[in-house]
Parts: sequence; structure tokens; C-alpha cells
Amino acid sequence: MIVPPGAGVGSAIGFLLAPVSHELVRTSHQRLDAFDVDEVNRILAELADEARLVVAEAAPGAPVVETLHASMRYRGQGHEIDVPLPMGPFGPDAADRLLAAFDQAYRALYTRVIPGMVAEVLTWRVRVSTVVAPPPSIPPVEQRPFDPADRHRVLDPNEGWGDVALVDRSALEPGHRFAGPALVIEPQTTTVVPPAFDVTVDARAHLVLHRRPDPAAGAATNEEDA
Amino acid sequence: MGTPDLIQMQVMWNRLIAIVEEQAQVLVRASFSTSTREAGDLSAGVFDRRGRMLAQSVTGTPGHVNSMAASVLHFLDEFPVDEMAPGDMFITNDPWKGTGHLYDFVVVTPVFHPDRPEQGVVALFACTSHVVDVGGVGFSMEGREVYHEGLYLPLIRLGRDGHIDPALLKIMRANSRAPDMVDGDVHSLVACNDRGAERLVQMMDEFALDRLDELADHVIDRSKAAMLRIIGDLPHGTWTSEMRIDGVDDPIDLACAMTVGPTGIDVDFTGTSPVSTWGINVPLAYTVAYTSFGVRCIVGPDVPNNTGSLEVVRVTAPEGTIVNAPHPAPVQIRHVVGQMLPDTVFGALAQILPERVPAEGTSALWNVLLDGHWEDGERFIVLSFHSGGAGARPYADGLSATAFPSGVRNMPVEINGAISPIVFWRKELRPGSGGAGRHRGGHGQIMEIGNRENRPFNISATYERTEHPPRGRNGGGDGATGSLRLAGSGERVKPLGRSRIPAGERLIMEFPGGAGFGDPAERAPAAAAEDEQSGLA
Repeated sequence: MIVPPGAGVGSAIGFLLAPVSHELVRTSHQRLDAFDVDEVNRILAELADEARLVVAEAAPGAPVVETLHASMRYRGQGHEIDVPLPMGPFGPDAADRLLAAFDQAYRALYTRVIPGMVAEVLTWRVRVSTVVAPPPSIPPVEQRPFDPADRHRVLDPNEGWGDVALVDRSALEPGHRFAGPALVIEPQTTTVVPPAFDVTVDARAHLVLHRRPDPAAGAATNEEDA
Repeated sequence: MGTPDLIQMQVMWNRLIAIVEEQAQVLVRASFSTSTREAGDLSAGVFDRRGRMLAQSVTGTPGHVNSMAASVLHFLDEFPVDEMAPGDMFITNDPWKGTGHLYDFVVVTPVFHPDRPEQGVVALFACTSHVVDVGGVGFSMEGREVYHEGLYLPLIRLGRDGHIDPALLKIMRANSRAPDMVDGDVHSLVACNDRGAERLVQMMDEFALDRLDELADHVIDRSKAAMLRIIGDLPHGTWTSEMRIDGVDDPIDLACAMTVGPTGIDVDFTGTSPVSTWGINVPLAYTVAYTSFGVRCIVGPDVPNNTGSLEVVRVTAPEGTIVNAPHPAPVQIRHVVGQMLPDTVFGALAQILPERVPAEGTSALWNVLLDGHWEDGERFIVLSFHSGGAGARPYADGLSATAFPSGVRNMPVEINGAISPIVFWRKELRPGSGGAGRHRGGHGQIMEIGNRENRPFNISATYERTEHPPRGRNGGGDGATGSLRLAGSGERVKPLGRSRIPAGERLIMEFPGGAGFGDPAERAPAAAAEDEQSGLA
């Protein structure tokens, strides 16, 4: 179990770190047996141009990636499925490529395709997004014990009254290691470390919780299987 | 794994229920027929290799679910489980061995664990949906024998090695006015069982189960024991009830005797009217389904629905009554009578549990089935599910414009406007239709329907409760009866059978309201004031 710093406000942090992106959807009903390649290419180009402009305002000069999805179904159905496609423009083989992509997505959702049935596209969705490099890997750190000075009496409904370590998260440094039960306190949240867990702090200040090997394991069912 | 404990059993049981719900959602999402995808007219479930239903999806309709449970046993009689092979699939629309009429296709698929197929069938998945068209006289009561009502598929093999038999598909296509939709729906039925099978195998791997027998026994035994405990707390004895409904040529009497005893509840329909010459007859499978559903609404509603909880409610009816119509009686519109059966058993249950049983309601769906031709000559068909008011409950007003007992959803009228020239000019709650009472009956609806092209159209009416209203309970008033008329001329339109609506005319449909529960004088002042303010009372 990994608890990053600020986990209590993780979605707000995520919003600040997310790539700048803009997504546009346009309806253009296209049966694959009567597919208008020029019309679709025109729509996709328009959507991509418009989305690129919006992204360029928020992230000038940043490299971007474009993705395309089509909402498709068999003619006569009432629900569409989302089909990922390579960004256009489409050539004369567009209908075949769309059918192949539809078949793949349909099979993944519904286990089988329907031979001979006409498929159709209802809407086209283009997304332009800045490229975010994947985070570098976390280097290992030398571990050393951390001694939580404060303790507090706490009622655990499963364990009864017990002494629990109180840890100020801002006092932790990479490499620190301590044993549960503990409460790790930061301004936005408190991490509860159960008695059966140890905690280490990695190079990026994540709390990493490990279940301590159970001396009785093997003899009886352990908690994880219950 | 060793013997799973009670908590593990419960976790696995819940997983089975989640799996069949996903199975049902695949059917809804992939289906072509609007009644399946918009109204939930379907069922899905998982069975052990003995054909015992272990779980059913919450999405679905009781007439399908409980009769589908019996249908799987018929399949196992025809195709012994030890002779089944991976990739087999079976189908029927036999009204007597399926779910009551030719429109309902039941598909059964055995599950093998892919790593150990030699172990044999570990479970079966079954599902049912109402397809768009099977030929014959269409969705109407005009057939005089089941032979008139369309394509009849006995219990047959639909395919092997995972492939649907192309010859069979050709036969189905050739016998339907909507061949693509029927073809597509057969595929979606097969697909939803396949998805269920995949998920079941994943679950067995996750919990290290090599078979389902212990889990099946747990589910069935617990459910049965829970039902018997609840039934054990009821007074034992026999109670009778009768309800008269409109019928086509003559009124129909639905009569039942309910016996509560230590081994369960027996309901017998001796005294019920004989089969009709019209297609409103009910095969016993469908009678059993709606009767046991009616009982279970009051007795043990919280016990999950499976073979264990179903088998303690036993239903019989003399052959030749309208609720046990023998082959080849016409049965296409069997829901009109079948959906009245919960109200019939409520009459008996209300004598045992007077403060627990709702008043009578509209009960049978008021489906709007229209057809005609576009200006360019092309034919259109509209089938749309709608409902009148439900009966007042012992603790609350009845639900308005709500399908009880079928549980299907009303269809948005906009869908019909998109596929036909039909316009629903008005669809509103019908003032004064709910019966008075401490709790008021649910409101019916008023609909006004026309053709936006200046051309005639036809209605195939299958409506009950136009002469015999839903009756109040414990001093509550009756609900209003329904009616059909032309808006311009005021001429009445018959509630059962086919009528032509002339060009330029509009059809006005007044749906019945539910009956009331308890003395109207005891109605809470706040509720009475709200009735006044809404203008609906």
C-alpha cells in the first residue's frame, strides 16, 4: 500500500499535474456501407484545429498528441460503443479500417461480432493533449529506524484499547522505517497504520505500508484470504 | 480451497449476483429490440449443473425470470448435461417450455472450465429477451392457435463450438418481418451468456473453486430455510379469492385457493374460467412465474430469488383453464391475463396479512401497439410499453403510471416519434383516476396520439380494466376504469382487438388508476391538501 504526500487532496493535485487537453465531439452519422471519407476527414481536421488552438493558449509551444474515438454500433442497436482509432485522415480503405477497429472493441465488450451486419458511426471525438513524460523511477534509499516519540491511547474496535504511535509526517525523511500501530498526521489527512503493518518512507516521501510476515501463516488462514 | 466459511460463501454468492447483473447489462447494451434495451423486458441467470437457479439479475421481469428457471430443467431433460460439450448453445421459444409466448427467446449455454473441460459442465447460463417479430399474426391476440402466432422453435441446439448454426439463423430470418433485428438479438443473447461464463470462470479461479456444488447447496438451502421460517410464522390454513376481469367476448374469473402449511405455500386455480378462443391464454409456466412472484412480494420479498426460495411456492391449475392453456391454444398476449395473477393471490394474502397487502392496480401493461404506412408506402410498427396506476400500498400511495407487477419501464415516447410518423400529443397523469383511501391509488395516464402525416393508422388494443376496475382494499375506493375514444368524433374504440384511426383523427387513451387502501376519512390532512393542490385528486 502506497500513500503519497497530500493523498487527502490527491484529486486537486492531480488536476494541477494533468496534461492540458481539449476534447471536441461532433455528430456525423456514417454507415460503413455508405461512408463519406471526405466529409469525415473535413470534420476531423476541423475538430483537431479547434482543439489545438485551445491547448496552445494554455500551453504555448508544448508538444501535443491527438487521439480519435468513434461511437459506433450495429445498425438497429440503441447503445453505442467507444472505438479507439488512429488519428486520420482516412484513405479509401476507411470503412474497412473502421470495421476492423469496431470488431475488436465489440468483441472485447460482448465476446463476439455479428457477421454480415452493417455497422455505423454516430459521433466522432477528437482529443488534443500535451505530452507528459512518465515520472522517473524512484531510487532506492538506505533504511534507518525512526522512533516516534509521541504515543496516544486509542480505541480500536477490533483490538480494544492500545498505545498507538503519533507521527508528524513532516518530520519523516526518506529511508525512515517504523512499525504500526501508528497514526501519520499531515494537514490534509491522517494515515492509519494497523498493528500488522510496517511503514517505510521512499525517496519521494511516499509512505509504503508492508504487512509484517505472520508467524502463524501457513498454520492457519491468514487475514488476506478471509 | 478448503471448506469455505460462511463469510466466504456470502462473498461468492454476492459475486454470482454481480455476474448475472453484468450478463443482463450486456444483453441490454447489445440488444436490437427496444423492449429489451429501453424497457428491461429480459432476464438473465446462472444455474448449477442440475438446473437449479442460483442467482438472477435484478434487471428483468418476473414473467421471464421464474419461467426461465423452469425452462432450464426442460433443456436438461432434452440435452443431458453429461453429453454437452464446450461451445454448445441451445435455444427455444416454446411458450410452454420457455417463457409463455413465441416472442421470447430463451438461450442456454453450458460453462466448462477451459483448463479442465474433462471435468464437464460446471454451471449453465440462461437468458431471455423479447424479440421484435417472429412472423405470424404479429403481436396481437388474433391468432386462434399457436400455429398462427409465428415461428415456433422447440428446445433445439443453437450451435456448437461457439458458432451459431447458420441454417437455423436463416430460418429465423426468413420467418421474421425484422430479420436483422432478430439475427442481432440472437447474437446478443449468446454474447451475454458467454460474458457470464467468462466471469464465472474468473471467479472460480480467484476463489480456487473447482466446482460450484457447495456454493449451490449453500445458496439454495439458506434461501429455502429463510422462506420456510417466514412461512412458518404465518397462520396455516386455506384462503380463497376471486377477481373478475374484462376478457374479450366474456368476462374472465380468476379464482385461487391458497394453502399455507409447514412445507410451503400451495396456490391452486381451480374455478378459473376456461381457455379463450383469443390469444390471451396463459401457459402454466407463465402462471407459475407471476403467481409465485405475487406471493413473494408479500412473503419473503428480501430473500434472494433462486430455486431454493421459489420451490416453496407451488402452483397448480386444472388443464383447460385460461391459466393452464394446453398446446396449441393461442398465447401471444398472455401477459394481459398473467399479470393479473399477483392481484388474484393478493386477495387471499390480504386475509392472512391485512395490513401488508396492497390494493389492486392496473396490473396488465397498457402497451401501445400501432402500425400503418408512411406516405411513401413503407410500413411502420410502434410497440411501446406503458402503464396505468398501481394499487395503493398499506403504508403509502400507489405508484402512478408504473408497471406492477411486470417491472418494465415505460418507454420514452420520443423514440417512437423518431422511428414512425406517430406523434404523442399528450402524455400526462389522469386526474381522479386513483382510488380514494387512507393511501390513494396511483394515477393512470391520458395519452393523445395522432399521425403527423394525414393518413390513418391502426391500433392493436390489448387492454384490461375497462369494465372491471381495480378494487380497493380495507375500505379504499376502486380505481377508475380505462377507455379509448377518438378525440374529434368522441366515438369509442374497443379495448381489445384491432381498430383503424381515421386520417386526421387522434386517439385518446385513458389508462386505469390504482385502487385505494384504507378508509379515505383517515387520509393524512397534509396528503389531502397535496391532492387538492396538484389538481389530480
